[in-house]
Amino acid sequence: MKKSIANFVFKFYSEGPRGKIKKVVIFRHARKFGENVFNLAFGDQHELPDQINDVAISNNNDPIKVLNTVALTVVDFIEKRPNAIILIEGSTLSRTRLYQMRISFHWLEISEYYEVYGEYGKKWLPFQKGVNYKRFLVFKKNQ
Amino acid sequence: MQREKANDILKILNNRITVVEKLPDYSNDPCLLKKEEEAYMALTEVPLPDIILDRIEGPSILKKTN
Repeated sequence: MKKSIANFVFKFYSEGPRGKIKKVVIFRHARKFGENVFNLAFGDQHELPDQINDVAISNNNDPIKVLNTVALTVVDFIEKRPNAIILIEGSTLSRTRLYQMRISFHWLEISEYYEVYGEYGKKWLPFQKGVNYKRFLVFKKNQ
Repeated sequence: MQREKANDILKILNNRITVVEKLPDYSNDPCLLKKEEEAYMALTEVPLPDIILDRIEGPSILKKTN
């Protein structure tokens, strides 16, 4: 995995039956919301070098590995910026659902270090397993 | 136990990440611009709880008083 010196962009490869597919994770600074608010974008590298495709379906038989790698970029990003608040939403409902399933699966570890809020019914609520949220906000717990 | 596990993950992660001078900044990427609009809708239409508002640093359109 590569990351830019400013740590806002991470790149890694998905390797599987369809070959090596370059993946990109971007933490976009959402300054109008605050100095420490970031919006996570994730997708395949587009043919154009400075664009991503966030609706591509890779079918490379490694979705869990890919999502775990995206999660690791979040861990790394927050380690470097412990005050960061990250907004996460899938490019489709099914992808948001997939994010939710992975958060649920690792909830024991995640909940020890991070606060996760989900948007549900026009409210931001602390994450609970079994609830389908529209998007998530993640930040480090006060230790 | 979980803290040890988390530290192990960080060690593995640090070994796997290469820091490079420059990657494209994707600042004009249509996907990112769309995401920015969605974020605007999400964060302005649905009020954030105080625990999050209190953590926001610097000027913010989400705070009642800056």
